[in-house]
Amino acid sequence: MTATTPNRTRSVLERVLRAVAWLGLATAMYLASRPAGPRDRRASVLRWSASDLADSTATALTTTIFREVVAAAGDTQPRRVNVELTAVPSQRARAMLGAVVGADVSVNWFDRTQASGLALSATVVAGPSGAVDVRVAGAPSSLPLVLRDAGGTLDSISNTRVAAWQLASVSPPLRASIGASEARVPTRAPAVTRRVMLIAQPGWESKFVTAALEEVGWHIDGSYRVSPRTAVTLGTPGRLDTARYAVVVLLDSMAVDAAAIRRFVQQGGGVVLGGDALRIPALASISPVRATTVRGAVAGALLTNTPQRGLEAWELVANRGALVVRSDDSDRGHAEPALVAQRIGAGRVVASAYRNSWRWRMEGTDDGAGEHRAWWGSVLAMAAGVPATAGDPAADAYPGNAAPYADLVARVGMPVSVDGITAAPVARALSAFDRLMNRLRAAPGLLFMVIAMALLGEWASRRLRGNR
Amino acid sequence: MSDSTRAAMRDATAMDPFVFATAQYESGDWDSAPMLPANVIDSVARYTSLPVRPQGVSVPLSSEAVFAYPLLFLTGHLPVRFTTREADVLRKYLVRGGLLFVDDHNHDVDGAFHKTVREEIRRVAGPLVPLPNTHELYRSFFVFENGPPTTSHEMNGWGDNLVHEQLDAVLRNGRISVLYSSKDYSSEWSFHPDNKRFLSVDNTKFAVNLVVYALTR
Repeated sequence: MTATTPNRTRSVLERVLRAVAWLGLATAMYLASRPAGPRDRRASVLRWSASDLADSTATALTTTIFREVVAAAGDTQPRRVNVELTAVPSQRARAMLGAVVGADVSVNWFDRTQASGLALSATVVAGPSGAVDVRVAGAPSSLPLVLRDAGGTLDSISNTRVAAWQLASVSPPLRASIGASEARVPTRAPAVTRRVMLIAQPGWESKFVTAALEEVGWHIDGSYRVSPRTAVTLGTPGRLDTARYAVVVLLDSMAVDAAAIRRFVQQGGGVVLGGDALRIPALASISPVRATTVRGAVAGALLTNTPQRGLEAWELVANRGALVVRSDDSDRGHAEPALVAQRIGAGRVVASAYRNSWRWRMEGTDDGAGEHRAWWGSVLAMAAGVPATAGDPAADAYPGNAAPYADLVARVGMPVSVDGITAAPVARALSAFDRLMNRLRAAPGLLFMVIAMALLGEWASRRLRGNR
Repeated sequence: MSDSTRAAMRDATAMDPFVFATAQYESGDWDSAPMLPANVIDSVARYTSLPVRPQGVSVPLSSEAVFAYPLLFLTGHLPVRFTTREADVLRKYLVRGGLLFVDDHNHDVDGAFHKTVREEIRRVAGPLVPLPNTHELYRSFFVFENGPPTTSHEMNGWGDNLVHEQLDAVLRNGRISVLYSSKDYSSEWSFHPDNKRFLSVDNTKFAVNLVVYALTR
C-alpha cells in the first residue's frame, strides 16, 4: 500500500506532463493556423499641431514619429498617429506623412488649415503673342481669389470660384490663392533676350553692376556721358523696345527719357530702379516704392554675415499692390524693404534700395563678389521674368506642389472630423484568451520550452521508476 | 520743398567723386612721382564732367583700405618685393575687380624696378601680355590711333633708350586687371598742372583715358 501510492502519484504527474505537452503542441498548431486578430491600435500616441510650413517642422515631426514607431516595434503593434494641421504642410512634411502611412502606421489628420481644393492651370497660347491662358477654379468662399507671380500681385477678385485671364507674360511661378488655399504652376519662362540697357552715370556703381551682370550672362548696352560733348558706349545701344531689350537698368538720378521707359514697361519690358534712380521724379508713376530718406551704412557691417547693412540705402515705402521681395533687419526693430517689385502694364518694375552696391563686392568679405553678382542676377531675373540661374524650373518642380492640399489628401487620405475621432473607440477590449494567444504568438520560444520541459519531465519520471 | 530739404536731397543723390589713389608698398620708393596725382586729377577735371576729388590719397597696399579705390597707381625706381600681406591684399583686390596701373619710373627694361615688379605681378596676378594698340583703352575718351602716347623720356634716349610700342596687361574677364607701362609716365606727368599752358599738346591726356576706362569698363 505504501509502495503503490508514490507510483500512482508519479503516474498522475506523468499523465499531466504528457497532457501539457500535447496541449502545448495543439496550441502551437492552433497558433500556426489562427488568422491574425485585430491589432491593438493604441490611440492618440501623438498629436502634432503645425502652425507653419517650415521644413524644420517636418524634420522635428519625422524625428518624433519615428521615435514612437521604433518604440512600438517591440510589441509588433503599429501605432496610430493623430496629426492636427493648422496649415498645409510643406512638400517635405507631406512626403514624410506619406512615408509613415506606407510604414503601416495609421495617420489620422485633423483639418484645421481652413484650406480647400484649388485648381490652377496655365497654358501658353499658340501664336506669336506667347500669351499665357490662366484658369482657376476653387471652392466657394467669401475670401478674394488672388493671382500673383514672382513680380507681384496680378489680380484679385472677390466672391468668385472660377476665373480666367490671358497674361502677356508671367514671371514663374504663378500662384493662385483663396485664403489659406494655394495652388501654383511653374510656368516656363518666356524666351527673352538677355540684353540689358544700362542708363547710368560713369562711376564705380555702374562699372561693377555691369561686371556682375555680364558675369551672370547678361549683355549690357549703355552710354555714359563723360563730358558735355563725349559719351562712352557699352555694346551697341539701340532704341529701347521690348524686341531688343529685356530690361532697362537705371542707377542714378539723372535726366532720362521717361516716356520711352514708361512705354517700354507697359509693353512688357522690365525696369530696374536702383539706388538714386528711385528719386527720378519723371519715373515716379511707375516706381513701386517711394524713397524717403537715405539710411546710413553701418560701419564694419560689410565684413559681417549681413553685408547689406554696410551699404547706404534708401528707405522705401512700398506702394499698394507692390510686393516686398526682400527686407533687411534694421536697428529700429522692423524690417526695411530692400527689394520691391510691382507689375506695371504688361511689364515689371523692380526697386533696389542700395546705393553704392559696388562696395559689397570690393570692400566686403571674400564671398562679397559672388553675393553682389547673385544679388544683381536675381534682380535682373525678376525684372525680366526669367530664372536667375540656368535651368528649367518646370523640369525640377515636384508635381504635388501644384496643389499641396490635394497632394496631402492623396498621400494620407481624407481628413477625419474631430467628432469622429473623439467618438472612435480608443482601444478594443480583448478577451483573456486573445491576450494569451497574442502573448504566445509574440513569444513562440516560450511555448516550445513548455512542451520540451513537460516531455523531459515525463521521460525522467518514467526512467526513475524503472519504466521505459 | 524747402531749400534745405532740396540741398539735403542733392547731397544724398550726388555721386561719389573719383579719388586718385597711389599704392604704398614697403620695399622701394612708392612716392617717387609726387606731382603726378595732382596732374592727373587736373586733367580729369579739365576734360571731363566726372566728379573728382581735388586731392588724391596714398593707401598702404597691406591695408584693406585699398578696396575702396578700384583704380590704384603704383610706381618707383627701386626693387619691389611685396610682403605676404601686400601680395594677399593685392590678389584679392584684383580678383574683386580692381585695376592696378604700374609704371616703371626708370624707363629701363634692365632696371631693378622693371625686373622685380614684373616678377611680383606674375606671382600675384599672372603673366603680363602685350596689350594691342587697338584696345578700347586707347579710345575710351581721347583717340590714340597708335596706341600709348610716346613720352619725352623715351625720345630723349634716357633709360633703356627704347620707344616702347605697347603697354602690357593682365586681363581678367575681358577687362584690364593690371596695366604695366615701361614708358615712364611717372616722369612725364609729374609736373605742376599750371605748367600745362606751356605745352603745345597736353601730355596727360592718356591719363584721362585710363581713368575713364577704369570707371566705365
